[in-house]
Amino acid sequence: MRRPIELRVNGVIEEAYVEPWWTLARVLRDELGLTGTKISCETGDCGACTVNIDGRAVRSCIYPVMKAQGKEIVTIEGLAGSDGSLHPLQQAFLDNFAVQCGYCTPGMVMGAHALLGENPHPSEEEIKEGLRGNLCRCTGYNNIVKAVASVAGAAEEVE
Amino acid sequence: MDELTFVGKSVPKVDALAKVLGKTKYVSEEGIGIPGLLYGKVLFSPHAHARIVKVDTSKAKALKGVRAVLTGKDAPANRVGMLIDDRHVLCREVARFVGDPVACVAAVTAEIAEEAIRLIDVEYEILPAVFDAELAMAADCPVVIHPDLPTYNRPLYAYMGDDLPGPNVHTHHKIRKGDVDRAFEEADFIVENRYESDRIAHCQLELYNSVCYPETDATLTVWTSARLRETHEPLLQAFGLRASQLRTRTSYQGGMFGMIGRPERFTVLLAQKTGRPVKMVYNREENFIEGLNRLAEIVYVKDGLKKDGTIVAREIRGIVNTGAYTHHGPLVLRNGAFHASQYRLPNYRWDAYGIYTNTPACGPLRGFGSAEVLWATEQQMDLDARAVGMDPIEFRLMNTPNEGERDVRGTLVNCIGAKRCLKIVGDWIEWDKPSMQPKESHIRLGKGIALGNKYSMADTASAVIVEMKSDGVLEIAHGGDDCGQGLNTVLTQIAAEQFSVPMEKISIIWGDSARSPYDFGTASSRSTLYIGNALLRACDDVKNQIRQLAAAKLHVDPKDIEVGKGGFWLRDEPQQLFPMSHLTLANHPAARGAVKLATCLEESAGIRGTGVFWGHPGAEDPETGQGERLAISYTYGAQAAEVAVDTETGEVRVLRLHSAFDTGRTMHPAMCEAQLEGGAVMGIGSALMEGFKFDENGRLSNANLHDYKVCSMGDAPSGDDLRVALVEEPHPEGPYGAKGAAESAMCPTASAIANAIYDAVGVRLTHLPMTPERVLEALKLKQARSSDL
Repeated sequence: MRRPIELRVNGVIEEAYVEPWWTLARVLRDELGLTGTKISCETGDCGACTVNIDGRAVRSCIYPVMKAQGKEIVTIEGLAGSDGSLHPLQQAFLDNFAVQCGYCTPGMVMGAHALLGENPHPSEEEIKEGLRGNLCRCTGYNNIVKAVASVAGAAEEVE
Repeated sequence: MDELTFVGKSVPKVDALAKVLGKTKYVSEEGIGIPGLLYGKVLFSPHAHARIVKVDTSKAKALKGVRAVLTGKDAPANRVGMLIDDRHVLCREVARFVGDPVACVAAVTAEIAEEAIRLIDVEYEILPAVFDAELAMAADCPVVIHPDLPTYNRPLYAYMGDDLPGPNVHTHHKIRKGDVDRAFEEADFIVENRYESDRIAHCQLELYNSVCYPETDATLTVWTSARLRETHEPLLQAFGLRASQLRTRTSYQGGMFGMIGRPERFTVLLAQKTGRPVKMVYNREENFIEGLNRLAEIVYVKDGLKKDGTIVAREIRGIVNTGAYTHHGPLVLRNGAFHASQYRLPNYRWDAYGIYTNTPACGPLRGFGSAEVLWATEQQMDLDARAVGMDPIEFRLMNTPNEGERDVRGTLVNCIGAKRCLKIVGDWIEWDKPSMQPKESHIRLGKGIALGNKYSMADTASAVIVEMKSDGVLEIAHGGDDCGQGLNTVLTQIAAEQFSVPMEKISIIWGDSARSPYDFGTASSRSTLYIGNALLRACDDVKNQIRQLAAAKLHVDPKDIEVGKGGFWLRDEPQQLFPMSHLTLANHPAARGAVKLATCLEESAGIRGTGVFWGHPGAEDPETGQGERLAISYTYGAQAAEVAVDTETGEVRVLRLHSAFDTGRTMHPAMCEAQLEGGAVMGIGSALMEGFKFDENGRLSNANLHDYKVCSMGDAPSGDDLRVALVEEPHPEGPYGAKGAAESAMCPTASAIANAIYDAVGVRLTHLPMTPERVLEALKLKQARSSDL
């Protein structure tokens, strides 16, 4: 039986009627229309569905939607400013040509966002270790590493 | 060379902004939330070879929410296939591999569709199966997978159906040059070896998916997450539809690498039968089973060498396991022969056989046959160099042809930057210095090099339509695909360059069989060269029409008109730019009634030009495989790897991997480099971790991204350890001198890594992938041999 739940997504309270066994990714995509979150492996092995929950990177394709209640969910759609300004990570992905097919990009950006939240100045090795669960089949990762490192480096300069 | 503004510059990628915002609409998003949508699901055969005795669908049909349950008899009766028509949409009498589709259903939810699949009761009579290609190819193989093969049609390359040595051999491709036997007799050294590669999957991140909508006029619109033409044409063939009865559409694909649409034949069938829109998304396991993955291949190589290092003869016997159906297989195995153009081989004999087995159907994957054969020949080159006592780079340089030579098939070698590529990666990997060995004695480092190439076929064509709108926007319609490689960006660069307008003034129509002009499709590393050239011609057409109109208006010779910057000007008066509106009817009454020019004279109409580019192939001799012009271009490239081998665990880590490719004139350096990096890293996966595993019943046992590993960020070298050089050798026929690059990037990688492993620990791995188990096994064998001595 579907039941109503409330989710706090990108700062907005959203209401959805869900089966209790549904995953967060399914609800984000099919019920809330937030299709920037991608589904690719459905086993938590590829990272395409990564969103942030209370600041941590979470695989939404295996995360039960009921568990997400009362938590702060951020998806790729919530990263840019309300004025349309890009988040520094999004800008860095553009500047470093870190996007090819783009299917891993939302999960990759959200994974990096959580990584930088936990460790604002990761080394190259820490970036590669931190994002090793986010697969990309196009880029060879090099430009993604560069993009994340450029944001981490910029944060350092600000301090 | 003219100063260029857009071409050759790393301009913003046109699709990237929407992608970083999560706004790009992939086909995965198509159909979500629309009323009346049904969800499709396929029942796959659990047996590798079985007669379908009886199918009882009554329980499935009775399930609430089920709208259709279809079996072989509900699907089209005709067989289809690109090169051999050997497959039905749904199995009719026999299932030929674990995963062969037996039935499909449509239901109001995905869960009900799944439940309905479980309720279909199929009675099978299990038949003996054969999985091993060398067993299957025997003349007396007791299992015959397609007894009717001799009666099948071969719409393309029919000659490859002659001279077949066994009932499961569907294809035989030959190349004959010189007198190989005599050359072997006269050779100072003979080097022979056997190499093998397991199947690998594209693992594009977007799952195979499709939606089909029945339209009110009884036509169908089908969306595919795969390529446009590779999906559209086979569907027309399978369902006996005319092009006007089926509109095929796609969008930015979430990765491609040669993958070919799969669920479309079921969404079309189910939409036809139910009259409702049907969506189908394959899960990851289904992606592995039903995807036409890279075929498995065994390659025997025999080389004859002179003491001075000259290769005098090469003989190759390729045994290609294409699975239970052929699809692109015959063409993939034929095109594997193109690899040979990278060396001067005065005597050459090639026999490649395509074999049916009771395993999943296969197809092309990035390299289309090249990487599988190069896996063998580029290790062989190291063995050869050792036999004649030469350095592997020197040996390759010596045997690489020069500009203007003809390759083993008689096709002209041009813009070959192979030698420059070899030298660059050799310098970068510090070839002259042995690897520094670490203190831990169980970690051994080594370096390896390999050369590779990828052809682009000559027998294809592209058409492009360009329309200059009255508001100055240029609209390009093409029939290729942008799967992230950047085709739309490159076409935007070309058009912006041609008309001296900002890139924002270019809009692109693509991925729609109703609006896109003909194209062979995005394949064969051909899009930039073919579609780029067709675009240049279409731009010329538009410019010439504007010149005619403007000349009539200004009473000058058309040759004196320059077109661009949103309008036109007189060559001698560049300061006065006339806007396009100068040519509209209101401003140009003299043109009233000029039928040929009428299109542009309506206030809101544009000027439309077309361009076609055809590769003008030469004929291929069926007996010798010789042809004047079989490829239109080759991309050559070298890779050098340094690896660390853990002799205790068998694990191999790629420390450095450097690439240099001759990409013609590079259209977009940053995207090209990124694509080559991506290929190199995909190559690492193919070398060390990727490979299908089957159990003894032919069931795929690692059909998920946990057990089937692809190269992760943590496994890949980066920064200064992953360098790419673009060696610019402009192609005489390419747009601005450009040619393709995408596929070549992973062709030499596995061999470079294998050669590095040999350098590190002295064992030669001849079976892909080089997993820790296989490395350990080889090390043990080496140890056993040395203790025997």
